[in-house]
Amino acid sequence: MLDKLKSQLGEAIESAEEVGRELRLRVGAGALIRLVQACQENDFSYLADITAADTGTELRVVYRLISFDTGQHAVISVGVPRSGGRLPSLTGLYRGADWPEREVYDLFGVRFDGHPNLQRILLTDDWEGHPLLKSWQAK
Amino acid sequence: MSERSLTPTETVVLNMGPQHPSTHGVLRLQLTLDGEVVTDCQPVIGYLHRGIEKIGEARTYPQILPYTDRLDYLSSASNNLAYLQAVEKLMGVEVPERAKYLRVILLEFNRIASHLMFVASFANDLAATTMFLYCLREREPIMDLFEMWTGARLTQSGMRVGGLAWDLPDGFIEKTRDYLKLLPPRLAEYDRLLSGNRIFRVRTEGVGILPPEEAIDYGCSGPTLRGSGVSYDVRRAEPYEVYDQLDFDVIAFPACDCMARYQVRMDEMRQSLRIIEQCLDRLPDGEVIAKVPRTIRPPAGEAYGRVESPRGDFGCWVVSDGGPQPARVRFRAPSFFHLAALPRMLRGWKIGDVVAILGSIDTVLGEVDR
Amino acid sequence: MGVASPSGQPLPAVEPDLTPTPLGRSADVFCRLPGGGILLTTIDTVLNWGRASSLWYLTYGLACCAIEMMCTAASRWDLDRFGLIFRGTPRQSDLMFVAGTVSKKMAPVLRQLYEQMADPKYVIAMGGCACEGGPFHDSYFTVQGVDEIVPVDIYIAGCPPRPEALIDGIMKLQEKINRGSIRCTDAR
Repeated sequence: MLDKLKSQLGEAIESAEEVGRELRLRVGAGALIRLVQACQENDFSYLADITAADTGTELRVVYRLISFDTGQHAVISVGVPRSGGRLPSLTGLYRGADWPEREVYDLFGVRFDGHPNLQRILLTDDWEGHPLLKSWQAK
Repeated sequence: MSERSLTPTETVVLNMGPQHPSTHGVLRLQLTLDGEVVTDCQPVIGYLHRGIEKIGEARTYPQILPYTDRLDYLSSASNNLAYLQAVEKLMGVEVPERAKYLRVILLEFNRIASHLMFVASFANDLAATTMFLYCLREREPIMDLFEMWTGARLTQSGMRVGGLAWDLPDGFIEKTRDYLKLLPPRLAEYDRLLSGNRIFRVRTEGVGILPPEEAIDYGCSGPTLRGSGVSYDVRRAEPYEVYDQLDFDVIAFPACDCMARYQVRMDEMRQSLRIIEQCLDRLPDGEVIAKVPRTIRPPAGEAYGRVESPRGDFGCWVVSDGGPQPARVRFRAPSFFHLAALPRMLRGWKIGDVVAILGSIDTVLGEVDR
Repeated sequence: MGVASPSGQPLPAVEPDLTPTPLGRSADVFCRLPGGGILLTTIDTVLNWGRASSLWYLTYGLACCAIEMMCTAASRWDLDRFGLIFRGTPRQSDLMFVAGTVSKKMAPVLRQLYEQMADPKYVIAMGGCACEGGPFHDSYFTVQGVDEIVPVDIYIAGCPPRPEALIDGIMKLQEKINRGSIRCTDAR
């Protein structure tokens, strides 16, 4: 499967490794949609999660797609800057991408282009800041 | 001339919650109604957001365990296990055989307790208040067993990195076997009282349809997905602990309605009893916890633990930087995704069906909001 | 007095509110009549008995404590025998159990519900989160104790408290009600 995806996307995949049942792939923001579509064509029909982690230098947005047939997880990481990060939204490909993308926006500040309703979901609408960033300070 | 043209009406936005007896927690639904028919629904969540993922970055690995209890508080052991699976994968810890069987017993009892609470509140919302009292009566012996074993009724934290905190106390196995005999006739009684009841059937059959392709697309799992006919269970797809050696059926019903989701949970309780009995029969002797260092410092890396909680696919992603506190801990809650599918399930149904449909997906706001 | 907060500073002593209510002022006048004192005590006894024996509660079940509250209300530890019936609306309740963590998003709702309840009303803070923040004491989004928003009559510690602890708290509230009088808000 890893080789199949590599052959479909070529150099757009920055790094790829297979760890247990996870295919850990790293792409740039520009190649994200293409990679996710390739995964969808290869039966990764279940979007398990969209989340992010603040590594200190960048925000790593992580998508986890699961194939019911093979049991593999495609774990796709995309790096965005810690402020002002933008990524294309997956809501056109998976209905279930709507809410987790809102949560990543709410807690990390990453904007998703093409999202139908990009508003805060967990915090109050007038909240300032994005708490899960390492640099966030409580006032 | 239709009656609609005689009396022009506007749609009404009705607010349901966040304090409402039937929202099962602090959930707010903004329902747009055309007469009695729901045309749209905007769930508003976050009323129980406690910042557990941020707190996790300020706690040591063992200290995070009690917080996982309080996510999906109706089945604490599933959350514990998802988190511990991730930590144990990072540390390369091998859990002893006896601990695996005991963990499965704890998990399946949590499943039965959670499903009993589901039947209790689902029936209560549909005005069958007696079921609330009956099911909670059946749930109390399980709480007693938890208290015997772990000291706590609800938020057990009975597991530790590498196994369990305590071995079974004396008398536990006898009491468990008594309970295994007690519950099946009671479940049959519930079937007589509820599943065949005409009013219950009219309110739940054909109501709240979620087609299987859309269910997968929304990321639904657990009974919500299996009630739409998709036979996917994490215990079979990615077996953990000793589930690959145990004999049980994955229950799915093809009807896609509230009744199907209810029936899945009723039958899952029976399967859980089977699993517990097999575990008791096969329980080996041995240690209940592996040798782990005093300070838990997993090497840098990341791991994902995934369990089948009573609500569905509960996952925990732990990123370690080598220190005693995690760099990131993320909880993938099934109810979060189910609530996103709720507007799809409510559209076109009447206001009286809202309670049935919301109850049938069995959300717990603790894990939705974290 | 004698109780220290987590920071080590002594907490200010809470004085009972002995300002007479308008009814209490007329009651004081009434008491000076011959036999008035005995009648007032009887009225107090009857009113307190009525209030304490029929506390209809609004389940403000937020989190895990809500489950223990439901268990207390159910078969084994039946709350109905104490006269406590669950009402879904604050308009029909006397007592509010705040069971669970109060987030900053929920706080205005909590205040609104409290305002919607009619006097005399009581609040029981159930569980560590409602008492002083509980395990989420350093969270960015939780209120550190519900007494920052509404006045609390009884605090029940535990995470979650056992049903027996909840019943104990209710009985303490009943004792507190029985000490009350129409003369003033908080009688000793």
